Amino acid sequence: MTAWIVFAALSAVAIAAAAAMLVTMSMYRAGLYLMSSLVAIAGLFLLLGADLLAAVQIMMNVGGMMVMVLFMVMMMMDPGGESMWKMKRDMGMRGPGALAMRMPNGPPPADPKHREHYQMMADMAMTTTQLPWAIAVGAASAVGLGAVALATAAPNSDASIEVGHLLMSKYMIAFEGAAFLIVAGIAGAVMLGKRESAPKAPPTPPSAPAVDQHVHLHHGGHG
Amino acid sequence: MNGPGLVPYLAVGAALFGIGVAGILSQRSALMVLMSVEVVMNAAVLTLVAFWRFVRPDRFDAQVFAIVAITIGAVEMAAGLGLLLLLFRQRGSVNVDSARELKG
Repeated sequence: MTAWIVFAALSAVAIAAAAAMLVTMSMYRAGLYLMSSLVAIAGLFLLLGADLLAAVQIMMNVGGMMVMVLFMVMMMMDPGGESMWKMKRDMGMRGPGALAMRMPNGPPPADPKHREHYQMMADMAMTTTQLPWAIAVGAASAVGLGAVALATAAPNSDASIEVGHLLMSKYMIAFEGAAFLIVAGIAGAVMLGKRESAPKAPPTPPSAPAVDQHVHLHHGGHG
Repeated sequence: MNGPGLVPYLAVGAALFGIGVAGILSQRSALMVLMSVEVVMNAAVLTLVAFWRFVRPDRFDAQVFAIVAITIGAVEMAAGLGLLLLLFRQRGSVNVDSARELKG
């Protein structure tokens, strides 16, 4: 019975946070929601007896998500979703609905100016009306998978020893392949992210004002 | 068995998968698309672990598979962020609609 309660709580958090990630107007909040969804999934791993995977999940995915949130704050035009608030205020919305970080409920407003704002919000596409359908179809399709022969045995609790032995014997090649893939991925990410060297130009005196290097790089290079 | 069986876990995994696919199809910011991909990957790993627990809990091959899958997800995230950085530097935004030269 306890297991059911824990399962219900964790899966509710996982699903609700993933859905909130799509519905919220704020990129920053979306990142935090995804992080909490990942933590809830790690809890589900624990409930399933896969403690090693829960640790791996926390260490790799949640840490990676933190980097993602950093990128978001760095690159997005409006990571906090403030323009949404402003548009809602301009549409004359008041109260908690205006503060909530999501699309207003109900049909589009009739006033053409408000309607334009509504369209802009919809265009920013941080929300989707298909979401409940996606959840329902996904969950319903799982019920058809119930006819699998189930094992009743509980797993051996020393997963890390077993997985370690497997990784070093039977799945050595997969292990090495994953390591190589990580190296290749890091090298690729560094190469992609590296600034292209400026075209050959006479060296400028050091007192010259710094040129804005951020946006206009695509004018150079690319022969 | 007094805990939840296989089907509840599969339902959670499928619901997460559905949310992730909806996000991939509907979001415009490439960052949100990457995050939705992350949701899909986690749904897949959750399904994998559930099958391990309820079908062959005596063999740990599935956990090795899950670890490799998580690793690939991390690498994909790193490469995706590198691409995003490039896209942002070239166009000043990460809106996927702004990168459609291949559409013709």
